Amino acid sequence: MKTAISKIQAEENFALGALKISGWLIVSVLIFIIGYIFYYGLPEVLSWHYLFTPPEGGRHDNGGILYQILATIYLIIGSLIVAAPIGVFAAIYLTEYAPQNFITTLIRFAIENLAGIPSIIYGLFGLAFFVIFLKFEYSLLAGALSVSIMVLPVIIRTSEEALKSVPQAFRQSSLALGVNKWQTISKVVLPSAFPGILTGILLSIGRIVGESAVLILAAGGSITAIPRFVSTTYPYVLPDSARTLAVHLYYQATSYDARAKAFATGVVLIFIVLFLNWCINQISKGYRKKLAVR
Amino acid sequence: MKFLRIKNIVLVFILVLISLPSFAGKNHITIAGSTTIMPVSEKWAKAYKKKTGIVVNVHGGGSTSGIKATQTGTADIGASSRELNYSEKDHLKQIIIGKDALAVIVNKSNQIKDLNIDQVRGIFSGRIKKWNEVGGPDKPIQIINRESGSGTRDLFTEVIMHIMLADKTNKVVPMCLSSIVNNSNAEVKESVKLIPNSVGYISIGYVDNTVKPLTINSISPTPKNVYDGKYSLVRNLYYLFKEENDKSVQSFLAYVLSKEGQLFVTKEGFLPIVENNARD
Amino acid sequence: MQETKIKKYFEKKEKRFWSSFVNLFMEQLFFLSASVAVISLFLITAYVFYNGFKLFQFVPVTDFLFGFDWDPVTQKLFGVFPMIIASCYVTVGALVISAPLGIACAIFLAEIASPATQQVIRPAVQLLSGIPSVVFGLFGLAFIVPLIQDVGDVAGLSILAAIIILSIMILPTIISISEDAIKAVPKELKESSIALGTTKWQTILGVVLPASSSGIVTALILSVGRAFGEAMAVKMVIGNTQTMPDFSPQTGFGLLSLARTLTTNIVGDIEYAEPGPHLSALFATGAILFLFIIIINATSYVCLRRNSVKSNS
Repeated sequence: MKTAISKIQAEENFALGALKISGWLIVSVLIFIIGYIFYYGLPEVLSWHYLFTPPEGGRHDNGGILYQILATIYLIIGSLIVAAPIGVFAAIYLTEYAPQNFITTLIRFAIENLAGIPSIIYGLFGLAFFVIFLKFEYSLLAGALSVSIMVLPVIIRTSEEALKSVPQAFRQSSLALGVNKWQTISKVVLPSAFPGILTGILLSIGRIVGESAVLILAAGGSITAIPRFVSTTYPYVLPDSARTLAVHLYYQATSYDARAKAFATGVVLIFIVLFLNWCINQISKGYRKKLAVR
Repeated sequence: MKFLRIKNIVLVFILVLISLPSFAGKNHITIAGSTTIMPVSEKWAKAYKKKTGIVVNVHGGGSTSGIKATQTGTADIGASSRELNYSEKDHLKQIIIGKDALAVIVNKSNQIKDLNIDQVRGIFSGRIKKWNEVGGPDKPIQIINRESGSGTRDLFTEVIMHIMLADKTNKVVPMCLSSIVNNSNAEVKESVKLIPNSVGYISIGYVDNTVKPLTINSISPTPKNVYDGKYSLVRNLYYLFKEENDKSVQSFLAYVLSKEGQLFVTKEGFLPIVENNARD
Repeated sequence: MQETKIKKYFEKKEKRFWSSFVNLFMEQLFFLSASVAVISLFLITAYVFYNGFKLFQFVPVTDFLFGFDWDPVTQKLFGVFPMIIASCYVTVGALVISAPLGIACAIFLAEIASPATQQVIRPAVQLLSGIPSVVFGLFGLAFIVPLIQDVGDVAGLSILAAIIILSIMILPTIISISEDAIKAVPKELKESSIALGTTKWQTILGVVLPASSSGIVTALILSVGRAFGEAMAVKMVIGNTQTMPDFSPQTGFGLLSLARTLTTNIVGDIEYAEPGPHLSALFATGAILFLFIIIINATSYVCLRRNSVKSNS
């Protein structure tokens, strides 16, 4: 009897110990990877020069990553201008309007599937549709449009969650005052869902920053000038192709004689992700506080 | 209200950010084509902008798309690592802007110094599987190849893998497919540096003291042997443009061919068009 | 007096008309936005498959699907069979490593860890999910590949390296979705099990895991989709060879062998692929990849459905 109990106790200790180890193992893997990247990349980044000088091209990748940073910012803005309104509007339709019919099911099915499509497929689509068929050539424009479709499901899903969490009573009391539906949505529902929607947008910024496969296929990789969305002299000159940080890291690690510098770009990318995560956590903290006050 | 105001500020900020770059630079030249030539073109673009203020945009896309872009006028200059074929020659002119010679490289730990063309072909076709068949240790050979369609691989196939049959027809010996496939000179170099039993081929300008270039038929891959015509793994790099082009393109091409311009060719690992520049 | 009243009446009416017009207009706009998702999905499917099907003007379907060699320029061989095998191999391998680890971590987070510990692990998992895939690729290339080479006396670029990188990359998906599923198990269920005198581990094994199994399965399927579709990180560490991996025992049944997956085929060849059979073959590769993803998605959809039906009843 006693041995049986101690056997159970031993099994219990072993199992719970294993669970604990697995949890901490993941944390240590993360710390190791980040530490490894920082160890080799941080000195270059801390010289600041690297961040604020334009790239010079060439096989040793002289110069810095200023244009790549700009391209990343432009890409974020460009794809969000398209994806954020469409995504939020689609979420509004799904939560506030959508009737239970075939078309709604179809829309939901499409969003589910878009979320599961790997980025390389978005890249192939961008290449076939925007670059070749619409003759955008390799350009920031083609890249931004492809990426905006990619982040659409992220924005729709998070906005939908946020809109659903707005209490039904808010809507009813607003409608009871004789205010119409759009006014209710714009004045009552959207403001209280705003933190959630912002979280979705920050999440999609994270995906845009980290994306590389789509952009290699649709945005090309020019680094000779500050990228522009639309060429000023369109029919005669190609719109600008551009290279974001993540794509640049790939080229540094494989195509340039400059693998060491890839770590520096990696450090910059990790810092961006850390910053975005911090923002998201701040928002959700603030949101929770607000709910608690209510 | 406050919410609205923040929104407006953000909107204005975004609009300014987007419109800013579209005013930058109007007078520019566009180069499209071979990704092999891209690093040099980028260097030229940078230096030329510093000198004259004219912006030169450099795009990749491969030789064929560069040629097409030049024909249709989307690009002012096409960069190509192969000669124009007959159907492409209409209305296009081409000039040689540099040469690209390939070296067969092995890991530094490898004792082998020389291979003849037949042995190189044997290795890359997979017929020779171990280093002891060509005088090395009893270790399997790890081939490092370039991707299908790359101009570097095409050149290697053309010079090394072609054999003349008894009836004087040409035949291509297919390359061994169970090799590592890398996408650039630098990547091949890194792989050869890392893997002890490996062999690969890269532009001679990329060869440094981390890898060991082999002599082929006892001829070492030096610029001198290339210019003397002894070393055969060489191709020309071309710029092509429309016959009737404007002055800005002409002056850029003149810069490319000048002594200063040709210096960048050497820096990027290729060979300048004339020999004496190579020694500067 | 009367006049101003009438004026006010019409102003009000005008305003009301205008606002109801906006109301209707916005409804249409919302609907249009929602249908963008459907249009995009249709266009993506159409363009990838249409461009892929062009290949079959040049190559028979069976040579493409069941060919063993890929040499599109010199020998005109377009076989993607080895890539299908390699994609599956890599995905299953990654799942074998990260499924137990991820589920264990999820249980730890949901059932055992103190709030302070959760405060450390949860942001770590969040950060792990945010790190760009190229950064993982770089880490693999610089650290894991040389390590495998030192230990195994092989090239180092290998299926194993890809499996390790992928297993780290899919962990966050498994952990976060499994954790949600485990947390959703009703408290009463656990408490009654504990009241029967079982230990915590027995409760987890006997009550919590079975009750959350469908959620965990969904997590695994989603992570399979992610692993199968990952391109850049895998491309950097797998060697991208053009033929069948060597599955002999000397290479650890393929683990230490070079390979090329469906995704790395596209990334590796796209830069120099000229319009014609080569480019079409890459689109066709994408179409095959797409088919697999559709199957994986459909499975997870069915799982989710069954899940929600179960929880409703």
